[in-house]
Amino acid sequence: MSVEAPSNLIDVSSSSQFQSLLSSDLNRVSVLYFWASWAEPCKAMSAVVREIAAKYPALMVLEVERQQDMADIAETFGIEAVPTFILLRGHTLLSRIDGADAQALTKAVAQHAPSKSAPAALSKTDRQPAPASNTTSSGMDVDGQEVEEEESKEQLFARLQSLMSSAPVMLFMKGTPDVPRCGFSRTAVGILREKGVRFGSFDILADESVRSGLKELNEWPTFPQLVVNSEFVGGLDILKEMVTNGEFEDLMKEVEGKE
Amino acid sequence: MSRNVSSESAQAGPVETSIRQKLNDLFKPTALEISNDSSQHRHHTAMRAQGGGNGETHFSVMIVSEAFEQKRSMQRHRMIYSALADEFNDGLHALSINAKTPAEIVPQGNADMQ
Repeated sequence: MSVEAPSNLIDVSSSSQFQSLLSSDLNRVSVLYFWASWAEPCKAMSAVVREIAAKYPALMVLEVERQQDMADIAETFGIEAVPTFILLRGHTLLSRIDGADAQALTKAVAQHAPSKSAPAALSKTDRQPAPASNTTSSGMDVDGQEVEEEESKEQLFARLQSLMSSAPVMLFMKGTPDVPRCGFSRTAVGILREKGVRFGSFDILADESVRSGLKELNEWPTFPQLVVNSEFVGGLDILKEMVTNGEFEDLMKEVEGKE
Repeated sequence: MSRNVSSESAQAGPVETSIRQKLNDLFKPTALEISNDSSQHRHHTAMRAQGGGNGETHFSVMIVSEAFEQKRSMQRHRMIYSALADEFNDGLHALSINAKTPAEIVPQGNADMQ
């Protein structure tokens, strides 16, 4: 195995370089790797990242070191800790992995990256990405190995149910309660906090299959989505209405009753 | 005094026009107001990545219709969402909904729709 850094592994040195690299091909899948030399887990992950770059030459892997001049890139993506990995197609967020989770990273890359033998992508579109298919979308073989199996719909729905049950009050939102990535999600968090409700949250921007799966399962095309006692309750408008007409308080009493 | 005419936003784009038509057809509302909030969301990361979106990504809808009688809020929202499924697939990103029945609107001379 060559000791040279693969040519698709780029250490980003400026915001303008970053922007132009990303904009140069809006169909290309990239991995952004936010790291810092003082963060121990990054050492192991750097090796994983290098391997991934070598294995998927069509992928663009950008290493962004957490330091002053890279601050605005980090801020755009809401990077709070390192290592953090962002998968993009062009500018569209595909997946996000917080922390040194090599397994999650390789799985996400396998799911989205074109293999060596695949033709250069594909149709160009300005639309938002279609909801992730729950049946095998690419089934491409990489190095003779099967791409990690896509979840079946049953498996996905089972995972969604367990996510919805992971706390008595669950908010599926864009971003996190401390760093919301959307005004509606921010407002929903604000209401729950103001009411003193203890709630779990899930960042649907970090998981495309949960994002599209919940839209289907709950028959609701938008986020945030509030789930109470494992049942979907509604979005922000409904939450606001329920607070106004007292239904929310009643619902919270049911929650307390179960704890 | 109920408004039978839906109010038009200046220069309604294709998405807004389609939303209005579908809601009118499906719910025969006594009042329908659609407001295009997309410009308020242009700066969001997801929208920025798309160059700000197409200007028809976020809307607010206020709709009054008998079709919502006996239906809880969540059901009303679902009825509206499913009527607009195509629009959601095509780039509609978010929809704020205020759905009432005629009986729920308190008459105050000029009905207060807020």
